[in-house]
Amino acid sequence: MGKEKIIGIDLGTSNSEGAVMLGGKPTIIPSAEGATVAGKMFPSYVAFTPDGQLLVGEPARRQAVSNPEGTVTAAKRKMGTDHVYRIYGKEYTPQQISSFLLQKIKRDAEAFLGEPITKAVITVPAYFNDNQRTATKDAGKIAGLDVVRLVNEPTAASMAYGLDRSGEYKILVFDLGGGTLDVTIMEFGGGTFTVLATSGDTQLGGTDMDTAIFEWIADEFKKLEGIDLRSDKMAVNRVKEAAEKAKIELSTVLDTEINMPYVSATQAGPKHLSMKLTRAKLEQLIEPIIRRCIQPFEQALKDAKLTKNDIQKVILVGGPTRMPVVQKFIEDHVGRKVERGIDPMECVAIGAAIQGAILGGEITDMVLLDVTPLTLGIETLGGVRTTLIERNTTIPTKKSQIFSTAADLQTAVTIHVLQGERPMAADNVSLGQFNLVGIPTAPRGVPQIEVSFDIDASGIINVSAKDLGTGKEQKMTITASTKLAEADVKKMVSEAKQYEEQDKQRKEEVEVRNSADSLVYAAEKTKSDLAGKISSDLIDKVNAAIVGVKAALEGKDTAKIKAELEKLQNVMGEAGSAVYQETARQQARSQAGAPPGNDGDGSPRQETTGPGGEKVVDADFKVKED
Amino acid sequence: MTEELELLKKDLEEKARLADERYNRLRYLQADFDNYRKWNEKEKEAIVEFANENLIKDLLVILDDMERALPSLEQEKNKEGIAMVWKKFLKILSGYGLQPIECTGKKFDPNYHEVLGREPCDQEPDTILNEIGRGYRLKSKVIRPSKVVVAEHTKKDEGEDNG
Repeated sequence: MGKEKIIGIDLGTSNSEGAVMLGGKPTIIPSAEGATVAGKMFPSYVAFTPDGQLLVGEPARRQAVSNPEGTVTAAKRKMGTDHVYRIYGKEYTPQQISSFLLQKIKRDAEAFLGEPITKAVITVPAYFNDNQRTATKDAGKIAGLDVVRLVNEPTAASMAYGLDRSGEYKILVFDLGGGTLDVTIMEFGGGTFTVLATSGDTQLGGTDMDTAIFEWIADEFKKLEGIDLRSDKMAVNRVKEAAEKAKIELSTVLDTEINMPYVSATQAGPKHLSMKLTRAKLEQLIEPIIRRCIQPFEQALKDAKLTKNDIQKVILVGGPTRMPVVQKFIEDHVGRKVERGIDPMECVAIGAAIQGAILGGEITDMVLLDVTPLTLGIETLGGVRTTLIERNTTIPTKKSQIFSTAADLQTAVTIHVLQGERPMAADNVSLGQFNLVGIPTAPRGVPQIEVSFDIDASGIINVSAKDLGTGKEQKMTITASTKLAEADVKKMVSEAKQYEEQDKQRKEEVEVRNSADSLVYAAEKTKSDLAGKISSDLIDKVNAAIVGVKAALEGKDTAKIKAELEKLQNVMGEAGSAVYQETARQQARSQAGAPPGNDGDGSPRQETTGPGGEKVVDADFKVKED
Repeated sequence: MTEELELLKKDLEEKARLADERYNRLRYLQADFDNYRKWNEKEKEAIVEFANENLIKDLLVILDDMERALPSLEQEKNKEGIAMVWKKFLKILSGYGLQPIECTGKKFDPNYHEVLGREPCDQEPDTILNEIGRGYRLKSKVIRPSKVVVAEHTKKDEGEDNG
């Protein structure tokens, strides 16, 4: 039996959307008609065409101009009243209108998840009274949804930010949408949110900002060219779209170009519109709108009998709160930074989905899947960091990899555990080290040592090294005390970016040295086997090449080592093929079928250099996952 | 002795309950993961199909601008040249599945068109009178609806303005 999903629904005055827990993460349910400019929400429009067709969302909005008598918007404002919509001879209650929006979300969710949905959590404004709440529940019932709970919008937003997990604080939620402003002050403590006060303005929002920008563009153009774009439908449409786009762009850049070639034409020829809108200018244009936010804000504080110093958390909801000027306004007024990290247009739906998952038993004790913040690995030959577990891997997790010795007759290896993002061991944080001793003497590269990293759900790391030959094992446990604070993690990640180029170079240098060293070793070993099979001429060439690499290794010139290494590779290749030709001739004479052996360059290290000079990971050292 | 037995029994029951609970949760998690994997595959297919959607959407304005430039070009040779560039551009994009949405003279359909205005005339109500902005679809998906002016309804049904 699969447990049924409970979806979360943000049923808004101008826009609505749904969300659901998917793989432990709240995810917005995409609207069947595709996304709008602003995001994944769809407009809260419902319409009936004269021929009786029902339209919901985008299609309903698109025909609103030609069918105003059949189109309903902002039905949320009429919830809980006995208002009746009379449309083409039929009557509809606000609950029924809302149910069409809920039905659409239900359908989209079913298409998205591929399973039937019958349960939902719906959000309502904190100021909704009993009538309005009952009406919302009824709307759900009509839509075929069992409304398992109604959640206040500011509460849902706070939950999206994880403010429901611990602590006690007073929260200010500033919700500026397309057409309404809601300010809510809440208190959280003992696991519950209590609304202390609400205030707002039902006619204030992002649409007013778009209009202000549109008017400015039209005025500027009139001043410049003497043409009023407002009388040209096509131009009005283009300018409106450009205004909204510019507003969104200016949240991330400081100025933007508004370019509209052939926006209009006169006797003298075509007219182009080209102007620059800076963020400063935009802020000046919308300043009157921002100023209107002050009164509801002060009112809410006054009603809650608090001062701004009492507020500990500030949460922003709604698209326009993405604008830096809006954020600055709030921060200046409260004297406190706003919470960040969740899309303000999605946080209400996300909070509702989280509440749904809690009620559905999906989340019992808010076990959130954790990740390793930094890469974990060990130090290998030449001071290189070899990664075992990459950063952002979801835990619990286990990874193993086989390593070997770097020198002949080596009987012990040191496992040096590292945490960090830099490719060279020394640049990372050392979490500890231990030795695995008693490895039977063997040529380098022969012993097989399995190193395993095992991180449990609480982040404790168990590192073990096992000699697969003898079964001997050494372990070490790294507990939380050796782990890093969040600020350190951020610092390390940014440092890694900063030194990326330089580190890459250093790592390459070491790798070239390692390959050269390893090939000389292999060449010397196989040289004796080749005696008698190839011409003495070729043997001399091999010797010369070995001397060349060795000499280069004394110095620090990587390019030189690389060049000498290549020479040796070529000569070895030549020798190898000469041997094969000879062997083949012999085999042809005796019998066929003996498999060709390893060509002698099987130095089983972490990485060896193949004949073509490209890096190959030796087959013996594949990462074994279990 | 019995007391100890009782305690152990209780302890065992508690452990069994806990084991059941955990096992159950594991199963849900596994199912959830499996579903996520399936969903992920579907999503990948969708991404491949509409990978170019955003880019093409942004390029539409260039297509519009070129089309707009045409009527005002005076030199015949220039006009011809720009028309060729425009056609070539459109051809490349149509190779990716871009198609203009048919419009003028058709009956208005909110799945493809967006009304910006209406005018009284003797045509059938909801007939598209003119196209203010061209709409496009990418394969089966409307990526930008046509912006249109339609013929006004002549007879007024009962109703109210709910806007």
